[in-house]
Amino acid sequence: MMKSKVLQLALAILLTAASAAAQDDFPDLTHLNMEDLLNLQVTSAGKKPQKIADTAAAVFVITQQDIRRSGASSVPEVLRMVPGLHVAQLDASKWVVTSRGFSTRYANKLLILVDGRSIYNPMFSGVFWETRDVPLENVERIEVIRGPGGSLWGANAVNGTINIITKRAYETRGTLVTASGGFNSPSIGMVRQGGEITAGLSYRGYVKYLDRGNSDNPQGNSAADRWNTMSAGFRMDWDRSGDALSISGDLQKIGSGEINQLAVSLSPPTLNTFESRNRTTSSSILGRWSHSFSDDSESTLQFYFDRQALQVAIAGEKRDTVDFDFQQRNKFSRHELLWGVNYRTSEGEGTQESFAARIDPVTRRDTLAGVFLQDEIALVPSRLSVALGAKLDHNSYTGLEFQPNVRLLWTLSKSRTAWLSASKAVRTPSRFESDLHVITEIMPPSTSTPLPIVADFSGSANLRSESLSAYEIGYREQFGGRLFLEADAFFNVYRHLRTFENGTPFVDFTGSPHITAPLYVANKLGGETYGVEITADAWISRIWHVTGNYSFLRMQLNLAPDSTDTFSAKAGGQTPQHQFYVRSGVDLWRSLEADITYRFVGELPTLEVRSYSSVDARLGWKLSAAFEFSLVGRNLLGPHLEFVPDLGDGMVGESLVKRGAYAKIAWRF
Amino acid sequence: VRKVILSALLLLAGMELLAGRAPAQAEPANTGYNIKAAFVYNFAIYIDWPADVLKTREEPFVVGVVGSDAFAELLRHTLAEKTVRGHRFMVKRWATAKNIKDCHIVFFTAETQDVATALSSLGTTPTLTVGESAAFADAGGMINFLVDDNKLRFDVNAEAGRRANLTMSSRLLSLARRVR
Repeated sequence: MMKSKVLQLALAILLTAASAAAQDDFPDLTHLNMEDLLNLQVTSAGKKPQKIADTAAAVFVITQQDIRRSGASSVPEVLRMVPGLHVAQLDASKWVVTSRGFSTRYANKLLILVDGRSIYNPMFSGVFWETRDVPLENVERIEVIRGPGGSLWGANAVNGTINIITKRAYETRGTLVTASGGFNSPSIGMVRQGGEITAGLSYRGYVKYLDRGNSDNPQGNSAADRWNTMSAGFRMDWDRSGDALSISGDLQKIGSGEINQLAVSLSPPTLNTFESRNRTTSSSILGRWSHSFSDDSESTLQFYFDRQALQVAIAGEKRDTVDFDFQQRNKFSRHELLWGVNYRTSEGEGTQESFAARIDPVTRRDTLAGVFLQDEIALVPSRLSVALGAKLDHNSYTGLEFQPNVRLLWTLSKSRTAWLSASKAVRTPSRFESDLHVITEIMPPSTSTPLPIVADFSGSANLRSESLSAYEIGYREQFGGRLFLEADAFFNVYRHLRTFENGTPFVDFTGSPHITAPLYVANKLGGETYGVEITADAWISRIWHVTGNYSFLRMQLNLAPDSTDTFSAKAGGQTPQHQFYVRSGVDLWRSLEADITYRFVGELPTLEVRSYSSVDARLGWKLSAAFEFSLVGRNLLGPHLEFVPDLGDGMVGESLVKRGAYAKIAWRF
Repeated sequence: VRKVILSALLLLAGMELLAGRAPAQAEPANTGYNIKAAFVYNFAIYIDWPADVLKTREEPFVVGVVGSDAFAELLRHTLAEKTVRGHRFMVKRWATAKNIKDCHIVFFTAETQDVATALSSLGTTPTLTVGESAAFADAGGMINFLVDDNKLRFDVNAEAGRRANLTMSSRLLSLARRVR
């Protein structure tokens, strides 16, 4: 889990930062553009400005500018600009977001943190994006790290980590009122108020409302997928020399929907198709205290409590999580040492039992305790550094997990860096994989089988963690102040990926007689993925900025010879092989911005989703310092399908992503 | 595969060490001034001065520094080989805020006394004023640097810029923490 001042960490952690050119007494930074200059750390530690891009990992930072100019109205949409990620809109409320493969709504290899608080759900291992609403106006930046982060963040940071970092309260003083609406777009309203109480003590509070109407399925009927959220939150920051204290919290009430089909009875009609309204209420509070002992030593203590009641068609759960996290950074001679301990306890209580599904035991408390250590060593100061790190975790499902990592950063010159890494990461089993029992299908009696056949899935306590060994290499170069290029490649070896195995059918006389076809989980899939991600960022002229990227991915998954799984290996065809994104932003006049985004997403052969191209456009007009107006058009090339329900959660039907447009006003005073 | 990668890592490290480049040396102290220097360069680019200023190619673009000699030296070093719209840079330094004249940008370092008087004596001449203190901002300076959450930020007093006939690009304004 990420903690404390995320940026400092990401730096310290990910190893490194040969500052742009400490060879000179006065490192010249004019080759960086202004956005990059603002991202430099003026750390008290060594007073050394560090560039987040100078890390030995595939890091992509989304700034407030990027968010605003992308015209996006939710976090997943913003993430479309990140190379190596696959973002697909499943319906009006649901999203699929994955890094480097394995796309599904239940994507389980990407860890998501909001200000250091994990929103990765241990019930089904993954993130239901629609159940956590982060107002984009409060976001300072989003750091996306592709590749394993297990040595720092622990389990489930297998293919990537996304850190959503909100603005400090001081940055949001004053009042902000925003309203937006249009067609095939959400209606959003938000009010935020912040201020400085005394020197060093600031606060903000906000309320936000969002409503996105039902979308249509390809047949023209309603997909019953309306999404509505109500959320409120606050943040207080207190700074004194050497100490920083931050407390934040939020309350959310969220509804989303889908058409679902669940088994209801052994006798016909065996299945019920209905419009399911999924409800989530959540509350969280987080406190973080950082203390600097000196320029070279800093400690951070973080605590959070998170409560979420989640109700989806197939199951419901109430979960309370308490998390403590401590970490310390120390610099001495050529070493920068970062270490930390964490403890998390999380209790989930099943709140729904039905004919189709039950969870056993109903209530379960899991604990997670871990320790990590990382040493970044300047082998040749400001030229070559190596970071060695590892995390040792103990969890309730698989016991001890060890996730080591080695990263090498080579600063070839002021403007060129290269890096290499080798790491191991794991994805631990979820509560569902361990404790869920669900009837996934009932086949009525036929001439060949006189009894109904019931496909009965059971979780298993013997499931192992999925593991990844990853090898990455990257290179980046800044050409003058105008062009930045970055390329990275990875080779991933997966072992013990989860599979769904068929057991031996048997005749079951409990209730009315039927044949039970058991389905159980095992770890019988392995394979390799490899890919390349290329990013370019160019200032073509003073007023014209173009950014773009291309991602290539190949997946080769192989079932163990004794596996009876029929669909897990198809995951290889659920993430596009080719993706391309380009965004152009022009400052037409002092107060007028024009942005256009084009993206191409390759086909998903196993889901029969065709490749598509899409164009978004935005006009932003700053009427005065206080008033901003923007017009956004989305998916202008017409309707397309981005993803379809792919796992047996009962969700049926597809939903088209259609042309849409909205207008937005923002008023600050 | 793992072996190959590990040996590649070791080989790279070994080559770098054998080459004997970059002997161990202390990192220079830095207070964020090189970031500010880079910004001064960007201000020259992203702000338009009135057409009657800098009419001939030969005229240098003059940046004045009040107070810190070290910063003036750093700026000289940073801007030495650069040009803006064909004009080379010239850095002047004043120990105090009195008698500042003939500059396109004036940077009042934190140690400057009596900023208010200096700003009012500049009046509405097309001079971009840059500072790094609350006193500077309060006195009506145009661009004020501050450090927040370990990062450099700047506030812009766009009204003051307009009065001096300077046109700031929207890109610059959009990067400001606060515009008033």
